[in-house]
Amino acid sequence: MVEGPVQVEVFVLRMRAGRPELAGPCGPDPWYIELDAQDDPVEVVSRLSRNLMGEPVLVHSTSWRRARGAVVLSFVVVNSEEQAPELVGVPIARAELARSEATSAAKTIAGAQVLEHGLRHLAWLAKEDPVVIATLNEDWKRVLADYRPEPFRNLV
Amino acid sequence: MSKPTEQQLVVRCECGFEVRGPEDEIVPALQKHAGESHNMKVTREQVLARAHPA
Repeated sequence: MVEGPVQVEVFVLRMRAGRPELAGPCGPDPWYIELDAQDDPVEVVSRLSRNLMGEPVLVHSTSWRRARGAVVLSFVVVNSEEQAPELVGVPIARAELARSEATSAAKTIAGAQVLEHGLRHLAWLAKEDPVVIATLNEDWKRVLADYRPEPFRNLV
Repeated sequence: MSKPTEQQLVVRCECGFEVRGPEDEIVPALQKHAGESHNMKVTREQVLARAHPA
């Protein structure tokens, strides 16, 4: 149903009893948002997250790729542990990354691979970015320490 | 003479959100969901194109 030349794919994360979970408005599935030409992606993701689930702890874009007939911007949204408890959470499993060739795209990219990269990106921010270092709690820093840090990149 | 029963429809968003009811109920409900959850403006025709008899 979500269409348009630019779309956002959001992975909503929360910590539950020391383990990270996917817990967004679409359950464990990515949450898709449509963007108009004049929209600021971060503002839209932050606003819709706030309206649906309460104030997010962190909103960050981690990668982009071409999929669904559009350019898809991938975001992670981190909610606090007690936030939106009505949303069902699913533990996050590790995945192999989808690696591109030097000049061509990976053949297929699964949602779990996008999320894996998103968490590695978050791990990089948790070591490099003063705002993220100050924002994420110790539970998140402990969990992200198991992810090999990796900056933003194109996944296709 | 009794009023004919309105046809019950069901329409489902790709995210799993589903609404059932007569046309005049499902259209605004799905338009509200699309705007609030997906930043989308959908027309009545777009909603009805995705609707099926319940």
